[in-house]
Amino acid sequence: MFQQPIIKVQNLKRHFKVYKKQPGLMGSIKSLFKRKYETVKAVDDISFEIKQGEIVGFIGQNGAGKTTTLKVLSGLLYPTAGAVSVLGFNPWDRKSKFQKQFALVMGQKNQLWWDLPAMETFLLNKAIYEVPDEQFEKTLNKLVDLLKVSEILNIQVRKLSLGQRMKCELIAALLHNPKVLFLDEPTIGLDVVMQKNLRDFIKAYNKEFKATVILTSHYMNDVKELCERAIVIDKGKLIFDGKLQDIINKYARNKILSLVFSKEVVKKDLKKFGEIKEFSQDNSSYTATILVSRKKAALVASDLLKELPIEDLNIEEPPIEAIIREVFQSGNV
Amino acid sequence: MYKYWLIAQLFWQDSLVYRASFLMWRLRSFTSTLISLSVWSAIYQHQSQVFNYSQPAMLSYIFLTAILHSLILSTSLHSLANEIYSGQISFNLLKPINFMGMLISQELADKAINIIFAIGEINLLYLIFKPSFILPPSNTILIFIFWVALGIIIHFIINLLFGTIGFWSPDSWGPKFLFFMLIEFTAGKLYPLDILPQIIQKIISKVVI
Repeated sequence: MFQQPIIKVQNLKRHFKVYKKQPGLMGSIKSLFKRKYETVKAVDDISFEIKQGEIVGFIGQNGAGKTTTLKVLSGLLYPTAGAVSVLGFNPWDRKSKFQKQFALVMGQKNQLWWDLPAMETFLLNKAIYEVPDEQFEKTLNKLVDLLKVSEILNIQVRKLSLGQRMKCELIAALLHNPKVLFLDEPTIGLDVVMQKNLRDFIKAYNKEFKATVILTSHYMNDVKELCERAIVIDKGKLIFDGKLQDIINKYARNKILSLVFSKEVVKKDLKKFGEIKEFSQDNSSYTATILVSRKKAALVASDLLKELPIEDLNIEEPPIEAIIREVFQSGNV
Repeated sequence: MYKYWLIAQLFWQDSLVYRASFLMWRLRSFTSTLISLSVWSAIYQHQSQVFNYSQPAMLSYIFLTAILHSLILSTSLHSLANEIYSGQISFNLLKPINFMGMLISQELADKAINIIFAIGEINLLYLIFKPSFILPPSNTILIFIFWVALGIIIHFIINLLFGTIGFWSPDSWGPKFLFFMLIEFTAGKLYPLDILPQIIQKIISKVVI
């Protein structure tokens, strides 16, 4: 496992020409005669390799180039420049042999026939992907069990909840047991319980079928739980490729100390230890949260225990969301 | 081939989901032919020849154009522009299936459902009007079938072209509507074109050719 790179991307560029409209009615009238265009570098010279069985998280702000990259990898978009190979194929050749080995799931679009039960789409996909009867039965039963959707297979898709629909979307995409799975925000709009269910399912699918998964998501919990490796893209450029923990080590400057005091303390006594984020002193509880430099966290904790009436103390990493936000905001790349 | 057959079956299932919409669609088609037949029947009440056409010839013409309309002008490509614009088309492009084959199977399924119901409706209209039919001469039947087949292919290609509007705009309905109004008129859907004044016939033949 994790030996052979099956996705290779070298110096990939994908640029779009977009029309820039001037504001107001006059802008609209002017645009009838003359238009200004701007080149948007959706993906700008990125390179990476992904090995079989890996789950890789694509992290980036809206418009960073995540979905464009997935579209190029799945053969929907031609690259402006660069070389891409997925499972040894040029994706944009759109060969049947290649298309039978991967699936793309887009959280904001659906491939299921809207007015028909999901089962009809499953049967159509079985025919399209030429899945043998026995394999179809086996895979369908397994996926239906894993996602607990046996009750809804014969209900019209439009009558399903978003979560139920997303589960059926995943089944439709996985019936041919793809070796590579591109998931573009698969948990968008779902409640936390459903998000967790889908994450568990993706993990189980990856384990069972040794599938390579590329996942984009705005929910950092998805990336945290599923991906050991993360690729961070900003404005089309790859700014980080490595273990998720390395992002924390590289970019998180502080640690969070959560304190519970046994009796009342004065705020100014706490100030010298670090930046106070929360301070609460009411009748029954005395708590505070402070930010301290990562390097000094252990030392500060020790000093706090010595100098203040500490009942409980926790040292935590800042949430990954906050670290990523800081990376993007500071341009610290 | 089985996958294309399955696509046609799903298309039929999909067409029959909304009963009210389906009934309205058929009612519109039925009413259009009913009105034409009623108007021409009224015109022939007190005369046996109008524009050199006898009543049986004119009513046969209306019946035949109703069948040809269902066969040639029906299409499943109305939503193509919107599918392109919204990106929904992506899923079909990602699958190991010939995209054009898929469109053709849907188109044929649409024509099949149209013609089946049109024949039923025409039988009903026949019972109401009880016309005596004058069929086209049998020695031209092969060339007639050939022209109909060409009409189907040309109409399919024109609709594909309208679908490509989706690369710029989701709404292809306006230009399509105008175009098909002209098609219905210039193809003689409403009445035989040779009843029009010579000058208009000349303009139509110049514009169309």
